[in-house]
Amino acid sequence: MNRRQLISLGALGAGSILLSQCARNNAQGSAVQSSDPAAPIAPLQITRSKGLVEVAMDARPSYVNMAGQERLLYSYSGQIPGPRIEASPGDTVRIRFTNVLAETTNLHFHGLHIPPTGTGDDVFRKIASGETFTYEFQIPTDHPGGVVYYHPHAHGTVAQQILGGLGGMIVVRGVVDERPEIQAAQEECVFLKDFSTAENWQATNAWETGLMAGREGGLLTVNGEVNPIWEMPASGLLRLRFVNASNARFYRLALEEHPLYLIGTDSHPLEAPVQLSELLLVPGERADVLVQAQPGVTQEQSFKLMNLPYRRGGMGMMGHHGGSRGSGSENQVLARLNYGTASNTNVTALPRQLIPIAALAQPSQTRSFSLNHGMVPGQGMVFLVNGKSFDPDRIDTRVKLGTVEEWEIRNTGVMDHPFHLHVNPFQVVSRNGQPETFRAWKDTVLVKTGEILRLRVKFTDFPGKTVYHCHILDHEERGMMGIIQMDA
Amino acid sequence: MSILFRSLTFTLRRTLVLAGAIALLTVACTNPQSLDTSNNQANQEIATQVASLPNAELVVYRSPTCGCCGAWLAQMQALGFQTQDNVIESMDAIKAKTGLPQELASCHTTLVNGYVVEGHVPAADIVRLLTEKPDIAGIAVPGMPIGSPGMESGDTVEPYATLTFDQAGNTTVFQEHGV
Repeated sequence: MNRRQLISLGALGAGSILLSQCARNNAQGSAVQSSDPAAPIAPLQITRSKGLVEVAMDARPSYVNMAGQERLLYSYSGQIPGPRIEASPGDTVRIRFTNVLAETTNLHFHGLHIPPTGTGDDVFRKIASGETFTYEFQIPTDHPGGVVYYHPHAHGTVAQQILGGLGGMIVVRGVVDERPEIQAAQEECVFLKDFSTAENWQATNAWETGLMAGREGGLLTVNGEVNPIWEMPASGLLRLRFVNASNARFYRLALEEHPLYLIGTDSHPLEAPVQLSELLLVPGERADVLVQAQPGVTQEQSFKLMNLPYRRGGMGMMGHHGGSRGSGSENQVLARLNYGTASNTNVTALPRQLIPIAALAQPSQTRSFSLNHGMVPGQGMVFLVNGKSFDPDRIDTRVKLGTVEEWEIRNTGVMDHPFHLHVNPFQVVSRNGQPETFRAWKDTVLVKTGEILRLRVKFTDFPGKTVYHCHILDHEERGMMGIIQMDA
Repeated sequence: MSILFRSLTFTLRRTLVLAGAIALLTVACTNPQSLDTSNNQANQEIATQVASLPNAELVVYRSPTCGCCGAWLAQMQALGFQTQDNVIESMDAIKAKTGLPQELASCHTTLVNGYVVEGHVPAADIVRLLTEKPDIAGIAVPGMPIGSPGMESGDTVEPYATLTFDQAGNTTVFQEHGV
């Protein structure tokens, strides 16, 4: 056994101590382990005691075995997805983070309501190659339970690093997780990420679609695996916790012969389950879903989790690139559910009530944001919010803490754009004038081509500067991002 | 033994990856698609070739909101192409009429001497098409590759290919760019 294997096993050991309920019947854990091409690196450590979650991890290039091939990708501490961190409201999270990449990076905690400053969710922080920085923040005691998606957010390298493999989950266990039906459910995390099929993903023609549409890879993975098989309890509930961790790919999800019961959107529980036949998940979005075992299904019977076709760009936007066709023409199989033996729980009913969601007050301010791309003199083709491409030295929006605002987001372009606001969640009020059918907290929402979406947001707790942007990260990198200053 | 083999493979692969990355960087640095069409030798040569083509009028169809379509048209005009500019509300009808395979679509559509020229096709490819007169329906640059004429964005150039197509929907590579 050589040093590389020792490090790998060390990482697995430390990780498995705190492996969440997700993938608990997957003995190996779901994360892909890698060997390590670089110089000495501290092993991953995660410890949790007395309200303190301590993590030591890094971002690094690593050889990862994926789809039967060793690939040189980017990983957090050798794992794709990155180490899963479990925490509870009230916990202090301390992450000693080392950048072993050759380029600048940082961490964004997508879905956490924490300060956008200091050692919190500061996306303007740049951690240079070779540097270590310690993030430390407290998850508010009234924070909802949900899946938080951590990923790099240093403008200029975001899309590159997401495409390379970076991203992971923080699972916050809140009040909703104490519901008996949810406690009894078998849980699987479903971290969706596409990779290039090319040996060298850094080649600019390694992708199925170009920069303009946003790059998609031809290799679809779930928790770093291609087509994993999960055991479905023959009775009872399965909880699927989806994260779209792709740069640009949308997932139109459906499970054969099983309705999906949405119980949470982004990092927040709903008021009650909502039955869906399919679920569209755009980059950056998360969804918490229950599936009910069907009576009369025999053991070993298998059902596919599908990605159905979706067209996110108008004629001419997608094209085909690198000699292959872009996404969206046929069904793709993401995973399979095999019915197993009866679970040892007799809880088979869905929860009726989850967590109440208060309506937001009348807004004291309304604003309008238009999303499009266009030619700007001196810049060429760029992506725009209100006609401007991103400028790190410009404050685009100033708001006052404690106030409610209504934002109208207009997609005046010919491609869909997922809109993401950091730090404070919002509620969608209407789309094209049609009121939203159920109340939900969101931090990332699709604004379709030509759509006018209205949302309400209350700015609370944390002064400072953060961003809103398109979560097709190639669009964010080419300018579709604005800076918001929240004043006390 | 197998570990040694793995290490060697890794080293070789890393070297190849690095070499690939350097090659791409070199391309990106030495081959910027300049917005300025007046001042470089290659463009002068193309302008000379365009001037020698008889009756080569580009009949361009584009939507009013398409900025990059206008940027492409301006470059073709600067290189000496005669143009007829048609700003229309719906591009779908014209694309359907040309028999263009849907996966080859781009933003603007051009007709010239019985050929279809779809999207951000470089002028040199149009000159070659009109000189060689191949038995095809037309040529296309599918999508909107960053760095193609009219799609400049900083120094970024992503590789793309001009493809041929015929009425049966067959396509071949006509010219590769940026690789």
